[in-house]
Amino acid sequence: MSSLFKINPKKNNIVIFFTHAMFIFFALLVVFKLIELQIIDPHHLKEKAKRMRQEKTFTFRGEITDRYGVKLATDTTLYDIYAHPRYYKSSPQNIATLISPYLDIPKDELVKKLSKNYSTISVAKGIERNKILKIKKFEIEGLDLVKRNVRLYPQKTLASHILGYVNSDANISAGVEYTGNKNLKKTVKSKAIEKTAHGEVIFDFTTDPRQVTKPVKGNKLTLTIDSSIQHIAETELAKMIDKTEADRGTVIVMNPNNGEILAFAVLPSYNPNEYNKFEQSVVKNWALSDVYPPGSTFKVLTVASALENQKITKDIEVMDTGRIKIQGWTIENYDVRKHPKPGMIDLAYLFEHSSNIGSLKIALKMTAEEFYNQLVKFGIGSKTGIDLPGESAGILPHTDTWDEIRQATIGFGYSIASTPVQIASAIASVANGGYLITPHVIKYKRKDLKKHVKFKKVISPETANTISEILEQSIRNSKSEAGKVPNFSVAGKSGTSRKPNPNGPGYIKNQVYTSFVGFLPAKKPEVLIMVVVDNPKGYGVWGSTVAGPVFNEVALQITRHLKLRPDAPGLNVKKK
Amino acid sequence: MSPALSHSYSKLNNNHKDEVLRGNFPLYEDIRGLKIRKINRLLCVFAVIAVITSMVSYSLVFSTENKISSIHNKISELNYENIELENKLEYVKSFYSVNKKISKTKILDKARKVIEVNEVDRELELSPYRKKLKINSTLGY
Repeated sequence: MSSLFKINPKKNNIVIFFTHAMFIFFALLVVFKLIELQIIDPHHLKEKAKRMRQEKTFTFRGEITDRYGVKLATDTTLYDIYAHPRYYKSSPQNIATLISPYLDIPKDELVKKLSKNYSTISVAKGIERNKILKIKKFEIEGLDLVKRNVRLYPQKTLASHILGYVNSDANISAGVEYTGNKNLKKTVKSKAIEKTAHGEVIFDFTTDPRQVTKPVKGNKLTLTIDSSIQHIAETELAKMIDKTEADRGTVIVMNPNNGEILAFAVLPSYNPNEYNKFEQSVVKNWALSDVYPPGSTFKVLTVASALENQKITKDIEVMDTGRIKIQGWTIENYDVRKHPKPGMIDLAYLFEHSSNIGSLKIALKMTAEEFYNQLVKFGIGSKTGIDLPGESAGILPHTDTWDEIRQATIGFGYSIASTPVQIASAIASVANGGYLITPHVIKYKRKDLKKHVKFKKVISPETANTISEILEQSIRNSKSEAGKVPNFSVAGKSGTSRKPNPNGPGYIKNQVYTSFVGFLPAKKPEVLIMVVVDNPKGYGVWGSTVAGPVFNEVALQITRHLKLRPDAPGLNVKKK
Repeated sequence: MSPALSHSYSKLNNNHKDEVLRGNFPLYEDIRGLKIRKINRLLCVFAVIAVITSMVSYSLVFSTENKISSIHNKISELNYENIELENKLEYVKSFYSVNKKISKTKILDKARKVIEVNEVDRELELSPYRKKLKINSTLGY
């Protein structure tokens, strides 16, 4: 028996040898594998580990400011709370007791929510950071506090139609949030931050300490808007709308020399922080998307077209009969009862009394093609190219559909439809010596300006100067107060047009659009103001009595704000 | 026997008759063995120093990392708080808020009491700082 356990020395050596060989073999395998992982090809595992440690960089959308840096839109952080019942360490009742005071949700409701049998429960959304810090201190297992950035508009309703709104989750936006979206989302490329499983940053020599402590922000967008002028425009417009119970209104203030829009007030307004609580008809920028018959303000373009096509001279006189019949249609002046037959009138009288007969006669002096082509040059019937979405091209019927009556009515601003921006842009060409400039609300860098803002010559400087002088003269001579700004000469025109019936031919009874467009100082214009008020109620509602006072008040305050030098001291100053 | 075990004590297998001395004596070593032992001792000392150094440096780095982490958390919190405060400030000085505040003050109300004071016959003294300031006021402020 004992012989069984005797070790044969020779056999023993072989067994030991093979055992040694086996261990050495496996050890070599491990060594080779380690060499492969750490020396030959460590790259892809390093990258995989890096990716696992990296968190998606938290970014803020770029800020939107006015031309002087006043913040109009910015981002803030809010938190959403989710619960995972699988990981609860205390009961839903205890959790609810701890967190309900900070969430403004009744405890019972919270207990119901937390007790649901789902893998993930949405407990609360949009919680402020200071409340979340207090909830974090409880270290409640099973609660997930997810950070997200939310758009904030500190000025509330100011310039809401220009700013628009944004909803990143639903990928919808409006206003400059839409047109400037690419720029606002663009961030500087930065090194990805690596974090431990507990969420602590892994620092190395190349880690930028600023990047790890602040959210990365998109590019800032500067607008041409002056928030003070915007506020003035909105306030004065709101007062008039309130006074006349009008449906809506708009005030556009622009620099006619470079197309920069200093203010674009559109009422009724809305709060972009709560855009989803307002109707679409309020949220849309109707001054861009809706059209209206420009009425007597269009006479400026009619006369400018005739002068440019050399059909008339600045000293021309036309016979104003007060009333005329064309192709069976009767057209008359608005003051035909007061001035039944004015007789031979010059251009200053035409503008001062807003003579329809004078305008249509001048319109008919041109051929249809001449008049049409010049209006196309003025941008009527096409988009201005403003950097806001939803712009309408307006309606300018082609000459194929023109007959005498149509051409005549176009002469005083009917049978066509334009947006307030189109009319403002066209009249700006009269103010700046003959150039149609793309209106814009975004302040572009010099290198991008040529791409976005076009300058197109539409009338000669002589025509532009002539029209400016005549308009200035008409305002000076007019008995109305509209356009009379103390110490300044103003070139302007009022307009009143009946509202077309949207459901058929004809016009809506007793409903009008009132407007006033003007620029000052007349000889060297620095600002152009366009006012349109839709459907003011009451007796004696005209462009000069509704839109005119808004123009006056806005212009007066702008002259003080911009410190414009008076070009006519003593003019329009009321003696005490 | 291997040199490593050479320093162990071993009993001499001598006859008792020939013994001059009796006891446990260390076996003699060769020079090579002695030198190897010295080198090993030195390496052990270095290893211990390296271990202690790495322990100390690790704890220093660990505490520094903790400090950096806590500073980082504080700075992050401050930055986010700063953003919130900036936003609140923008809201407070917005046209909307200023208008709302002014509409609540009854500017046109008559004073409840009128106090007459004597005219002060000297120029208003401004602080040097206030004199240096160039304020461009804007509408509403």
